[in-house]
Amino acid sequence: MLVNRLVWKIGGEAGYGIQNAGMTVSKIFKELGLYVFATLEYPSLIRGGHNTFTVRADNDRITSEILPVDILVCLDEATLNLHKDELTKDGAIIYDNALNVKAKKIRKDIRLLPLPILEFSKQYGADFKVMMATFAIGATIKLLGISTQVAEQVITMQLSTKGQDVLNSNFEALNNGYNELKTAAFKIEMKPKKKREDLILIDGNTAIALGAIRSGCKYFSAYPMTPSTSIMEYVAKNQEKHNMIMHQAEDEISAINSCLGASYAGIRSMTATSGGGFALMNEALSLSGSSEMPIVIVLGQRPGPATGLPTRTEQGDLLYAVHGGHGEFPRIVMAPGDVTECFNMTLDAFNMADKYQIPIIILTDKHIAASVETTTEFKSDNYKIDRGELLLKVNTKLRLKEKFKRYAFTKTGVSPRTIPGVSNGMQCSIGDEHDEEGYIIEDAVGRKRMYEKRANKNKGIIKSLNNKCIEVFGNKNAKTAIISWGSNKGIILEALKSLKNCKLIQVKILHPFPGAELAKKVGRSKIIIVEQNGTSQLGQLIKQNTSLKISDYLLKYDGRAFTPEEIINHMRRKK
Amino acid sequence: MIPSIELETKGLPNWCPGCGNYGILTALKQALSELDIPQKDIVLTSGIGCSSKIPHWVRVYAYNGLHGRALPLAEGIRLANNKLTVITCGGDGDGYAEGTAHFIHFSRYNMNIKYFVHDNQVYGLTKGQVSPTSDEGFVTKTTPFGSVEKALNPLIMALSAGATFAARGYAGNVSQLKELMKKAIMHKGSALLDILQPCVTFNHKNTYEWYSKRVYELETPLKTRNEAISKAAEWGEKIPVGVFFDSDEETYEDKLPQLKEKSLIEEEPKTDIKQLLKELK
Ligand SMILES: Cc1ncc(C[n+]2csc(CCOP(=O)(O)OP(=O)(O)O)c2C)c(N)n1
Ligand code: SF4
Ligand SMILES: [Mg+2]
Repeated sequence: MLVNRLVWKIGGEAGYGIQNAGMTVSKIFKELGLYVFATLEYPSLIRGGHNTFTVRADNDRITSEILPVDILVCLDEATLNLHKDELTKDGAIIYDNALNVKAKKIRKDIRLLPLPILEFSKQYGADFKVMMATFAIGATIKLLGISTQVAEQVITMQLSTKGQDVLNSNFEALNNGYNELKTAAFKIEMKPKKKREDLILIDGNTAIALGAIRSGCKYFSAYPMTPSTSIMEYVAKNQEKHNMIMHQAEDEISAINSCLGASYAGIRSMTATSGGGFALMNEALSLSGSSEMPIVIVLGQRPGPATGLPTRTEQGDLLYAVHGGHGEFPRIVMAPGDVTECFNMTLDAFNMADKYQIPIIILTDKHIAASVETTTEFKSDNYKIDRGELLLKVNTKLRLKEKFKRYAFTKTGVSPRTIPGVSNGMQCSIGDEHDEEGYIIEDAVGRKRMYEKRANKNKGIIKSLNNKCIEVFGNKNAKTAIISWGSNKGIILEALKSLKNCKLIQVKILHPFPGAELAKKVGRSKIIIVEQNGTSQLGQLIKQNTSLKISDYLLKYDGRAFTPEEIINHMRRKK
Repeated sequence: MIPSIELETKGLPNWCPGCGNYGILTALKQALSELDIPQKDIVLTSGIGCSSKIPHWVRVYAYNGLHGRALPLAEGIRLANNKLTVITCGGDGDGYAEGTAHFIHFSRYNMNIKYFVHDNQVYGLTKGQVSPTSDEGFVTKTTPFGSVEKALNPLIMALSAGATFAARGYAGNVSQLKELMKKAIMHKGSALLDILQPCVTFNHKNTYEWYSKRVYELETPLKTRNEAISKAAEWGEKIPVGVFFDSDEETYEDKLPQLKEKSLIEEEPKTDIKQLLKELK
């Protein structure tokens, strides 16, 4: 009998509350004191289509989904057709008894558990679809030996705002599912442990939004675009309590420009989008560079070109994030590899944006933005908001002999800035080339000097990032190094559990590219690049910035995240 | 009161001699110096065009941004600090072509921002191309056979999108323009002031003479939005100038509980996330 190690998958059309059901199950496992990693796969549709939510639970920390699946819950026939072969030996399928499974050629070892899911749920009229999912959760917990109390407790928390009627019908569905399943013995049993009070269940987007709030960001403006939308929704929900404003702009151009305006007036601002919206923001990204206006931009990638696969995942915009925006100006591109890094990097991003008065791009993708995992509660007690050379406090007075120079030449390239409301601090921030006071200039000497002032900031940026850009995981003495970035981290870490002669080198800062640091960490190891794009954009950056030799690539561009199995298989084949 | 000398900057305007922008600059400086707003609390945003260079010649806080994007800058500034007086200046190409979406939505948001459009019915800075407000048949380098497009009516657009103040001024009548600017600035909400501005270099049709013959002053604002829209449609032999509509409505900022007591900039950030983390446990 296996204990506390499980992969559970539910599938159905959009509209069946698949995501909510998945979250309920994730929280039940968390209540039992287990670690969880959960992913949602869905098409860009509101009704119909095929949605799945996969929840993996374990005694120890897990960082990715894995195959095979132990229990498959089919709320429709498509789920059965598409996923029956993902089941482990002696796995189980929970499905509606009206479904004809005879024709499906299901392996003999698999436990078939037909239940009157639809027949029971019909009584709820319009809500029948959602009740089907709750019914199936009831059956699931019975199969795994989990008590209904835990499930009821989780459902109560989740539906706290929905009223007693909704709660009662869900309890009814849950208990019916529980009682209808007659045979409880299964190869896996979930045994409650002590609930860990220091664990949270969170996705990458929420971690970024939390980071923004913790950083004292007060203005957030965006235009909805998957996979970044839930950041704006989270900020919107909490804006009043945290004295922020979330403004849904008429387009991404407005969103980023209004963020620059807010930043000019002295408050921290952030926007979030995906590739298409980032394209619209490019001119203003460049304005941030010229006017030296701090801003933090979240670029949540999804497969392109154009609208691409709106709800799937890819890492095709790395070079775009590095090069986007016309002209040359300093910036930082950072790519978190898990939810904790999403939070911590957001804290750093705001400080670095202020310190160097530059745009910072936090590069994520759908896989990290929307996957949910348990992790240790974020610690930020030592975080200090550093506003850099900002002469804050409205209604104060500057004592200067001459006019304030917004773009004064300094050793570091960073100039003090004032904000409206400060007497004697009057200044013009500007996108045209300018002199120290912000007046438009055209002359060659002045241009060269101002260009170099901005470029000079790179020295400080590189210095503050020194030795913080690369992390090594796994067997440090291994001769083979997988180099990767972003959301692949968790998947590769999972694969490393079976690849003892491999290490992972994670590149966390992608621009300015930490070539020297990477070369040092690689040493004489053999390099294999793992990326979610077809042209190895990280590989291109490595070739541009180091003399390292890349031996092999594992690239994927089908819109789905890697699985640990794919990485393990690739590495084993190589030997 | 701001002494006018305080509003001077180090440079002198480099517009063509005779350009209508000079009249607009004079009116703006007079309006700002007569109003009782501390200089440190005035912010001017602008885009790109001859008109958008105006922040270089009036000494207030300024953000000279991208072509067509000056209004979103102003919106961010207002929401960050709603104690500021925020004015946006720009051209007809800037606001009614490149920035159309922002113009419509700014009108609808009713944020307390004053939008002064230097409407010369042509693209000045790029040396004479057709603009959305060019009269039909207008000959430019890009419309050598005369424009086949209908002119856009900015006042009707602003009014139908919800602006709570809409006015038209004329750069050739500085004292009247100054008064209109003051009214717009004192208005609470989104205000459009479209300013007829002769471009002596690239618009040889809509000249000082052409405008002077046609403009006449509206005595009082119209009573309803619909009446104002009908009046705004008047364009041709007679062109009304003055305040078309002025209505006192709750602004975007008024509706935000976050801004009830203090502006965002005045408030210490509320960065304690304990409760939010608890919700995730
Ligand atoms: C994105 C972008 N497109 C085009 C331009 C070139 N451009 C600069 S000003 C301008 C039009 C100027 O006309 P208007 O806004 O009416 O201002 P005016 O010079 O007449 O005051 C254009 C097309 C630009 N700067 N940026
Ligand atoms: S080109 Fe026209 S608008 Fe521009 S400065 Fe000359 S006269 Fe004025
Ligand atoms: Mg113009």
